[in-house]
Amino acid sequence: MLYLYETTYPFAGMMDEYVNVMGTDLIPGLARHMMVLGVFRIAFRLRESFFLSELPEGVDSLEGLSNFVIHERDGLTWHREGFRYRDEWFDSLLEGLPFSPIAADIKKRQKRGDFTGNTLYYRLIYNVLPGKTDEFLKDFEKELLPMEEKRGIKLAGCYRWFGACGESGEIISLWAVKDWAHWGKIQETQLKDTKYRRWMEKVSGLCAEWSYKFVIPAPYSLLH
Amino acid sequence: MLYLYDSIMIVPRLQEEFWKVMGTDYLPEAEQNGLRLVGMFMIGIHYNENLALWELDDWATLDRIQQLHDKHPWMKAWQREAVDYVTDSTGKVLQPAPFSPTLAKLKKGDYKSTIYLHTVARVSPGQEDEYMKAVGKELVPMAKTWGMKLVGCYKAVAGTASSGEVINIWTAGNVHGEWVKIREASLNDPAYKKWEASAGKWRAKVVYRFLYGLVPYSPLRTPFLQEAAIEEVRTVAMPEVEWK
Repeated sequence: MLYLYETTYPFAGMMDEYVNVMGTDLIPGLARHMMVLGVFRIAFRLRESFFLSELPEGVDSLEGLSNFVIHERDGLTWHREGFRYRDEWFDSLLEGLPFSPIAADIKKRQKRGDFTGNTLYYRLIYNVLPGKTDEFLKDFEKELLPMEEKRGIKLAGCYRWFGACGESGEIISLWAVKDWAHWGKIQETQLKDTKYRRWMEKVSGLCAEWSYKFVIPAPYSLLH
Repeated sequence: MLYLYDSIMIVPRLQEEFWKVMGTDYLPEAEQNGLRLVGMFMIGIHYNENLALWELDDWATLDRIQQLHDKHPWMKAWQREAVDYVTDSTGKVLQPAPFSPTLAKLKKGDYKSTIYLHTVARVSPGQEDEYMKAVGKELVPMAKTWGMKLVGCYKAVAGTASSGEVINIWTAGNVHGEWVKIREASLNDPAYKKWEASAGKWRAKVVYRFLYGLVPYSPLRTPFLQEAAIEEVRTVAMPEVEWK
């Protein structure tokens, strides 16, 4: 499955309004062409947000997106309206990894209580060393994923670069966290967990570095 | 204990005015809600960047602050006001090393300085605690002999950050001439040469910045500035009304 991942920089002081108008003026039209998984603000950041959409028809969904902004009335309107709120954005096309849940899985799991009622998501980007990606992904799926889901954070998605903006060796993961207090507890248990410490040692040999952002979902997001 | 590290980009020319309105319109409410200002600094030398460092008790306080930022009408009013002064800001959540002084200790001790040295080391993933322990055991006593005191040693644990970020803040003299002496002392210290060689096993490089403590209400600030009384700013005289 392919995904569109767009980072946007709304003007200072416009974040709330921008996220609201995305919900009313953009998402309904976009939803004709793609499944919008989430609209997020970056925690404690004045001007950065991103949205993530599943492209059900693969790259053909992008033709739908082009039609939306060039020919469809609400898309044309949004295209002009958006300039009131932001001056910069960039897009990546991502490929979902085989163990990454798709929108249909997320909806099913929401009935069981996952991916709902979260005030935070944890976006962790690994920069895997050249030639180590297969080994990293195998270990991620077999070791990290079961360990962390058991601990209480749920993998909402895991992707690698497919097209447009991106970097070699970049693996983007998105995890659902209940709130900051929950994250504090998760960290405490990670520090005491010998299996987790082994994973950290292993991953240090497979990755050049990693970086993270904590992101806050818009209430109307599928991931919320 | 946790720390919120807020890197703020300021509209050039309005820095002093921003400090003033932050002191009157943001600081009192923030402190009532569990954020304690450790330091408000100008980055040296990056003309339009400031750093606000806050201490908070625990993760639950961060949830309260997040709620406040997202929903409270007072915070929304502050955010609208700040648009005139701030072009961007990015936050990290930091966890202190066990030997890192708390704000209470900083207030009791002699940590006032015009210049602070801010260092960021990108430590190999998973080795942050080991590196911080070595900083406490080896670098802190060494730096004391050069005239530097450790103000804080932290690792990034949440917010926006990269793997292995360890941030240290040190006092670094009241005038630039004092910094010259500190630097000379460090470069002539054989122990420092040994430290630099051994620290290479944890990190390749350290990124340096000066922080200037020029904000009157900041607990960490130049000793040449006395603490300013926070002014209550009211543009219109308002009678005190008791609401029932």
